[in-house]
Amino acid sequence: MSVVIGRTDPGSKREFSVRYRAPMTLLDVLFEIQRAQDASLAFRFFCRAGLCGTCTVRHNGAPVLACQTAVAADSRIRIDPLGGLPVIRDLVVDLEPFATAWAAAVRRSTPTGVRRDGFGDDTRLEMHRDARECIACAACYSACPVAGSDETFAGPAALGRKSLIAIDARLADTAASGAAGASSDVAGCHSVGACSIVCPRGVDPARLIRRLRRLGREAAT
Amino acid sequence: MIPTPDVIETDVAVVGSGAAGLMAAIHASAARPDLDVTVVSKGIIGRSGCSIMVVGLNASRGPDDSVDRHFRDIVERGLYLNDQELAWNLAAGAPSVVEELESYGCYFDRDPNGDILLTPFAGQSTNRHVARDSQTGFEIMSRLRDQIYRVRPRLLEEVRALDLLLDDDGAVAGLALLDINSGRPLILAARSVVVATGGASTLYRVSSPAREKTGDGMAMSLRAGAEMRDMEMMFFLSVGLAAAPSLSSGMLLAEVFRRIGGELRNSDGERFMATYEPEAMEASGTEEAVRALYTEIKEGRGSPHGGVWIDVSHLGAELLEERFPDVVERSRLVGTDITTGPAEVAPVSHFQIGGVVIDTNGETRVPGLIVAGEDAGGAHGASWTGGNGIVEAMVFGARAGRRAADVASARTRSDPAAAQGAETFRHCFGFLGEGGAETAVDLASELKEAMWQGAGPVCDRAGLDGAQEAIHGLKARASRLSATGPATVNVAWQSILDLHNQIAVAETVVAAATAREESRGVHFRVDHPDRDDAGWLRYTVASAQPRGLQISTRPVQLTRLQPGD
Repeated sequence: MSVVIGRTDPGSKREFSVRYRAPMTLLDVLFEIQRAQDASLAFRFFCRAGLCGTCTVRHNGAPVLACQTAVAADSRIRIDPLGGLPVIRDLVVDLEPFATAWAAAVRRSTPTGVRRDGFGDDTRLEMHRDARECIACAACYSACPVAGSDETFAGPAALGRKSLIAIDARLADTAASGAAGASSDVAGCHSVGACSIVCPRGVDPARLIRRLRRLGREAAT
Repeated sequence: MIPTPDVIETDVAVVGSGAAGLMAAIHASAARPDLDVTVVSKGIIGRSGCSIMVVGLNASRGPDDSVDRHFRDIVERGLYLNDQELAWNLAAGAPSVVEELESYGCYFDRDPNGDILLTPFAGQSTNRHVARDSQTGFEIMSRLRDQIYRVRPRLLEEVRALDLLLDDDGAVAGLALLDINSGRPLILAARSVVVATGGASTLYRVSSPAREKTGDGMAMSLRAGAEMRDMEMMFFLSVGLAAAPSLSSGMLLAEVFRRIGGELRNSDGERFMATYEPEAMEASGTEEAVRALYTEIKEGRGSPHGGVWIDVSHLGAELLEERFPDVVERSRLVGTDITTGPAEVAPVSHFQIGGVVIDTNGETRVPGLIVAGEDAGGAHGASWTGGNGIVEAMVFGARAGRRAADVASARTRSDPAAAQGAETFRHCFGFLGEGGAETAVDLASELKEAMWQGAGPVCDRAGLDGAQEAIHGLKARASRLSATGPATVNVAWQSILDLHNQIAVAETVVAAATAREESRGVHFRVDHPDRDDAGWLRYTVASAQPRGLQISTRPVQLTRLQPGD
């Protein structure tokens, strides 16, 4: 396999040839290069089970979880760090902007003392079921043309999280959840939908944002 | 050239950001809102470690269940080696943990009445398993992480703890840290420290935990003077995917496959369980199955990737995809689709039962050092039940956090003995240099192979001696390792630091296994194959002494339940 990695340090080796061994994921490719060819390659991973969401990279341009992406023998692979986030070194990005947006979205998730979820209707329960699958891997943030370039826009994952909190009576005054939908950062979404295409967990952030907007409109009338 | 460490002052330092660490931080802040709390995490907060991979948790909520019944199940499973006060507190704290998590937004599976669904799990005497699909750990951790963003302790993310620092009286005064991303050393001065980094069940060639779980907390606690109990107790499951050298190796299939018609075969095509468990066959207990698989593989009847074959394809793709969607996906990722044919599986080290000796508040014999979760020992005894580990992490994480807050309030911050930090940093930065012929990854593989061969699920004195010798050799070679490249995000350098902790924990595992001359639970000695209650209702204690690692034993206090009660 021929592998090209987008790296940061001037002079670092970027092109590698890796022998395919079944089974092999994109993460195995990175590990093998770091182990046997270039110890200085920087990349990040923890669980290797598709749950921690930290091994996200761009594979031939598309953000993926490296540990869940099988590679084929004889493939030509290009691996780059996620877009929209500052790069610390090689494939390791600084998640600070992503985490800050997420933290702002959940900052007021103080338990209300209400014991029942109180989703109220099927739409809210469905929103809950969709939004809770997010593993914060930042694939959507990388694919979104607005997040990362417009710093007032929280990005798809954080807005998805906001919707998860807003509709849950255990964490928020759901009668006021319209406020979340009326807030300016929801307006920042250009409805491109790249987030929903790349999500490795099948979450549909674009639809969550649309529904959050609708809650805002309903609250306003 | 070692950069001068920056110094940060805090009241409560929590090392680790799995379920135990985050519960500790949340509860320390709740108990004493005036205190400054700092979470130190080698990985991304709330996303590294194994808590996210947990399938469910056990809590006595059902009409026929009780704290006493849950407690009895733990002690009977642990074959009376448990610290019964820890086991009791685990069972007693479980129901309120479920309530607390739901108050943070977790939404566990419901029964038709809308109550939290309780299912049978892992041979427990009644239905007490609470889950959210098969993504329970992720559900828990994502909500604890959100609460962390609400409570807002100081977060030192991707910062590894190198060592506990003590003051002149031998009490904890803080931590020596390394910022992985900047490569800079840090000193965190603290009034109390909670260690909750997770165990070192990555010590075997096929293992399920997250790769960064290298026993850092155990190793640094041991170096600081804490005692480690029952380190010989390492829990294996029987159905880890054998796919080495892929990092997907060790991912779990479902243990229940052996009980719903899954057939195990060796390289001769034989249903080998007939030799070991002619009655139960594949549906035998986990320990029995693990030992049978281990023996088959070790005696040369294994599969190409060092496992045996399990076949569940006759159950049908429809049922497997419906009931085990994650497992089917995993098997496809490694190229052996379980819906169409057999997959290679091996015994997989999964949970480290042994750990630091603690009391019910997590306190250790080192003043100011509080330990919670998998780093601690005693609650589970000689075996383990899935779903109790995460409960232990949360119950004792919360208790540790509250205790750490009390301890911090009562203590003034003392100066860490400066020499210790300097020595730790010298050791750490000494591995950053020109590179060398050997890599930490290769030595870690050798360590895991030596542990598998000599200190695996079936062992004897000769094998354990061999493992100890191999570890000593590896220790010497590990001390000569060198990582090239810049200090920032240096994967090779971090792997060296990981390896040193793995070796320290491996030594305690082998020494304790050598000392326990009987067989109990997950510890099976061919040369001492019987359980010996007369001689061995005792727990092993490992401690670091000037002359090296020492092992002693102490009688188990049967405070609540006697064998035969």
